[in-house]
Amino acid sequence: MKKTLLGLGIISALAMAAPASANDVKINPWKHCGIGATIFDDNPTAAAVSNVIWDLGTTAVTSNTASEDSCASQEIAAAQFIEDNLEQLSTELAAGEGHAVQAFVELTNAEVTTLRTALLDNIDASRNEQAQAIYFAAQ
Amino acid sequence: MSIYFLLRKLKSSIFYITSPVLWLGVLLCLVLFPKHALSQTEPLSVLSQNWQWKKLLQYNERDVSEVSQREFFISSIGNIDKQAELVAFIEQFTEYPQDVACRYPARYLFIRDKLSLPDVDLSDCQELMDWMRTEQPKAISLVFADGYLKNPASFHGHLFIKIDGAEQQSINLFDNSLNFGAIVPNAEDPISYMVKGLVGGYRARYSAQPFYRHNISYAQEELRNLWHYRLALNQFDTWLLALHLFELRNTDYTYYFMSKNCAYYVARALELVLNQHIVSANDIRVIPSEIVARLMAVDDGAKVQKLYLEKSLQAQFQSRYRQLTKEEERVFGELLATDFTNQSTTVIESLEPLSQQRVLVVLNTYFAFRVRQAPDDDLLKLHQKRVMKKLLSRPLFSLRWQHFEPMLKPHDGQLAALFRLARQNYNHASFGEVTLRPTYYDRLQPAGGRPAHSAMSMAELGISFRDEKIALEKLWLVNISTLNLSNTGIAGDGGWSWGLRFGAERFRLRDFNARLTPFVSGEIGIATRLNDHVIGYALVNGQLHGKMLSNENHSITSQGRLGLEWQWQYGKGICEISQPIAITSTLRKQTLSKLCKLSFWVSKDADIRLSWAEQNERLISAQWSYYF
Repeated sequence: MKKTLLGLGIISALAMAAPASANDVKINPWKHCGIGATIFDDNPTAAAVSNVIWDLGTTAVTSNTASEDSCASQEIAAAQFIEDNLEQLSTELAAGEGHAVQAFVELTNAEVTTLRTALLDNIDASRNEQAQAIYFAAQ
Repeated sequence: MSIYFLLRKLKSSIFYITSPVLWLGVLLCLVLFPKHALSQTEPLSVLSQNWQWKKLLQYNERDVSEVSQREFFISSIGNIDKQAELVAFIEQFTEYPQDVACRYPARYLFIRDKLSLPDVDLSDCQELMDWMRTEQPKAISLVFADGYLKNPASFHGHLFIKIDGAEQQSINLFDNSLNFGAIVPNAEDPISYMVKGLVGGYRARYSAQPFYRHNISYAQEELRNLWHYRLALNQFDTWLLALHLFELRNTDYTYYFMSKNCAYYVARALELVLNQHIVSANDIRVIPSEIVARLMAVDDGAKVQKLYLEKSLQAQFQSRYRQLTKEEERVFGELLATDFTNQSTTVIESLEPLSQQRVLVVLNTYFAFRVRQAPDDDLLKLHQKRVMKKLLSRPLFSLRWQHFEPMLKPHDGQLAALFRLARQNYNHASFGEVTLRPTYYDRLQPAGGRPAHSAMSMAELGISFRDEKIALEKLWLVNISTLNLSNTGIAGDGGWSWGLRFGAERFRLRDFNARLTPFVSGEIGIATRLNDHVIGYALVNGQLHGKMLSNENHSITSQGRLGLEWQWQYGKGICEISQPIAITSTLRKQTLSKLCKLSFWVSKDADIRLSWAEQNERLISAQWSYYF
């Protein structure tokens, strides 16, 4: 019963979002859950506060399209990890190994080669874009 | 474990969907730790004297709890009456089993192991499960971060606890880690920070974070090695300690920098599974490296299953660089002089593909370390990006880097307090001298758990005894020095060597009758490794001081110092020359000063030192040091 309800919940949420493409249905933690400064481009203080809220272990309160459950998920933990560890993670992805790569792959079951390709494709992009590219490559 | 209980959990579909492994872990825990049928008759008065019950309540050797928060206890007198707390727990549990077990899961696990209590599924305790960050704690590690001289609060290193979610893996960045630290307001000024830290002006508490946050702060940004002491615990004790740490999450304490600090409270938590105290409420000094030494001393080291060194980013680079072949090293050097564009890096093609990758990986590590040190340096970032691009564009071989570790581990370091007896023979007279130092180490001591080629001491006091007269020879309030040398000779690996010392001293080498002179001295310079055992250094020193001699009136002295420091298996030596110049309206060169010191490490607790120094006076000295 709970499974059914959960399934219905997800379906109706997706229906309301009316996505234009498959990528659009994915939660973007940077935009929807207050990770990083993307949604606060003009307000660094707000972004910092958002991350402090996150650090205290509660879900972000800045979301206007995602539910608290979706922002508390394992995917968001992965996004937060990328945001905090991008320098180490990208350095290790280039080398193909390391503690950050190992932890991230174990969490997401992503392929290292896929992540390396995503990083290479975005090597000249901004920090935020790189982080999001790695995140979506892991989904 | 009842079948009913198992089936009940299987029916919990939401939980099944979100984390099947989680409750299986908890079920496993309960199966592994069945109730003891015989102990059901154990009187509560006896059970309340059980070591683990006392430590679950944080009782110390004075038989009172270290925790002052009322809510930590169920009984109103739980902080002074262990049996009352035990009775109160059982009574409350009988009435509200789920609530009480979720709030005090360690106490529940302990009592359930001893008495017949109904099963409670801890996986239903959402706050606990969120906090734990793992389906099942497999091990607990005590993590020691090397001392860090750029921050006074970090001189002595740091300790925290990590709950390991995997049995074999040494490091999982997602593991939960428990840090104990003072709650310091933002923008606290340094003076208030020091004073309040010393006199108990802050509250302190445990905080839980994923381990990767510590990894970033210590190993990546501050370039400090992390030593993971994985405890040798059975599954019950592993669970019990993990759950106890959860119960401690809301406790807070008065913080004292030297005694009731991170090392003290981490040690108090560990005592739960050590079956003995490793700190005392009377300790006037508790230092992280000494706590790991005490841990290693419990049952002759049997409480530590494994020690793993997680190298700082800089140490990683140095270790890998040293593993390059001569040819790889040459190409590395040539590449470093380029801008890393494709046109400028054809030199790498002279190497085999595997060697190319080794060189690029070491370059990548090098730039990662440099960028951490200079995050605003766009050129470094550009070069790292180009190196990463090269690595990402090629299929990778599996590289095997050797994991070299320093011979001395943090627990091998000598204790912090010093008592030294010396015989000082000057041209004009001889006398005995006693030196006392509450903390921490000097350059002639072995560097286990401390930055190599450095010194850090506070309140070092020297008193001489001559012809029934007692004189204060020196009082160094603070003495810090570090030779920040490059281990590879590559630009940016290493940095400025520096030192700071202030206090008062009789500079008897200038004149045997020198006055006790207050001074502040600072120095800066460079150091380099000459071979595996010897380093050289050059420093420029400036000193602001009172009148050293009755016939002098200058108060600024500068000097250039050139020295060698070397080490062998059983000791260390320093030889140095320095040229002081008195600065007034003119510059007046003073007599060249020369010194050599040798330290022989006769045991972990003691050394014997011989020294010779000469300026206007000559000093020959023999010393015996005891560390405690």
